[in-house]
Amino acid sequence: MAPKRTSFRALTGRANSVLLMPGGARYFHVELSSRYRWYVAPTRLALVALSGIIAVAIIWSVTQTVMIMRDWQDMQVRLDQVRMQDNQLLAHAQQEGTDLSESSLQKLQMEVHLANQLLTKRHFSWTQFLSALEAAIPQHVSIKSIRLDPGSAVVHMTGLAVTVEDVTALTVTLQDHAVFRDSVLGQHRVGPDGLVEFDLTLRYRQPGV
Amino acid sequence: MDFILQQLRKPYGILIPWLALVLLLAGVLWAVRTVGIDGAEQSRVKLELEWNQARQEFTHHKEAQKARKDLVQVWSVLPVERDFAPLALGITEEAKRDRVILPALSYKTEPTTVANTSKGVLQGTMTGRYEDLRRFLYDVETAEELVYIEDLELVRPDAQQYQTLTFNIKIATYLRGEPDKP
Repeated sequence: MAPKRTSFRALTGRANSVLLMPGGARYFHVELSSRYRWYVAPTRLALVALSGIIAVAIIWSVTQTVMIMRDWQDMQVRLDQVRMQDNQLLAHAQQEGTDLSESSLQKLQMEVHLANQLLTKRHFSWTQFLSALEAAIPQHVSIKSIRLDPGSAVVHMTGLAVTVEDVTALTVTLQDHAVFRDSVLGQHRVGPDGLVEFDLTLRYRQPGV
Repeated sequence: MDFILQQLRKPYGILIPWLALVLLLAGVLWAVRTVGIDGAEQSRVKLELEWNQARQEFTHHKEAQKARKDLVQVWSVLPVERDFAPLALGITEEAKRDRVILPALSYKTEPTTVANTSKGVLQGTMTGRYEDLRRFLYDVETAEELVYIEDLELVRPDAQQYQTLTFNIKIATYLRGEPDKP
């Protein structure tokens, strides 16, 4: 029995020397549990599909990035063009002696406002206004005072009429007129001489404006 | 390493490489979206703002240049300050020719918001027949000098003289300053 045991131990020792590494680690490990797990195959399939979807998303995102970068490049070109045109304009203006500096542009607004005011007032014709008024005032009515505010185009007038009907006729005429509108009779009273004094406000719209 | 090998040997070990791949791709996707798309989009938006601003500035400069040219034309027609008194005298002469009486005319200059430009105002009363007054007003309105009638007010007609009317008149213009003046 003793030699037989010796030979078995020797065999075991040889097997161990083959299976075990010098540090004690094994070369092979046999898992004896069952390898079948029902969820492995569907999960792997899901992971494969997910990988595919993410890969597509990556390609789509990269494409989007490239498109945005192209847009960016186009816009950069346009920006450079606008800046170049602006610089050319400024250089040209400087050659002409036109000051387009920031401080000058701030003053420009006031200058334009003043010039527009001047031209608007110059364009207003008092002669036209008086002609229109002459044509609108009926007989038996005379104007005592008249004042026009050119800014608001409101006319204030006082006058005399023979009868109250004449004042009414004047108001109605001015209400439905080509250049006068919004006539409002402020007050009227019969004076000691029997004439009707009235006070009227209306708006004037200059023809051609 | 051993741990990974051990895990790979497990029944579900076959899933680990796929899971790693999914995680890797998710990371790549996150990086592409964060750095790529978001970064590029932010740069594009910033550039678009710059472009719009540059366009507005260019348009503003173009309009300003045109306005400056127009203003030069307008200012060149305005009388200079030293011509204000002769202008007033010229208007008085015109009134005489139209048989309109301008008994007194006050001269006044007012500062404006624009440097080197002031407003000259001539104010007084004018008396005459309606036809003559109208002719005078027309002459002032169509004068070569850039003057305008700022205000005109008919005052009560003289009860004694129905033929004549009296107006308060205010004639104004803008005057160019003299740059050489110290």
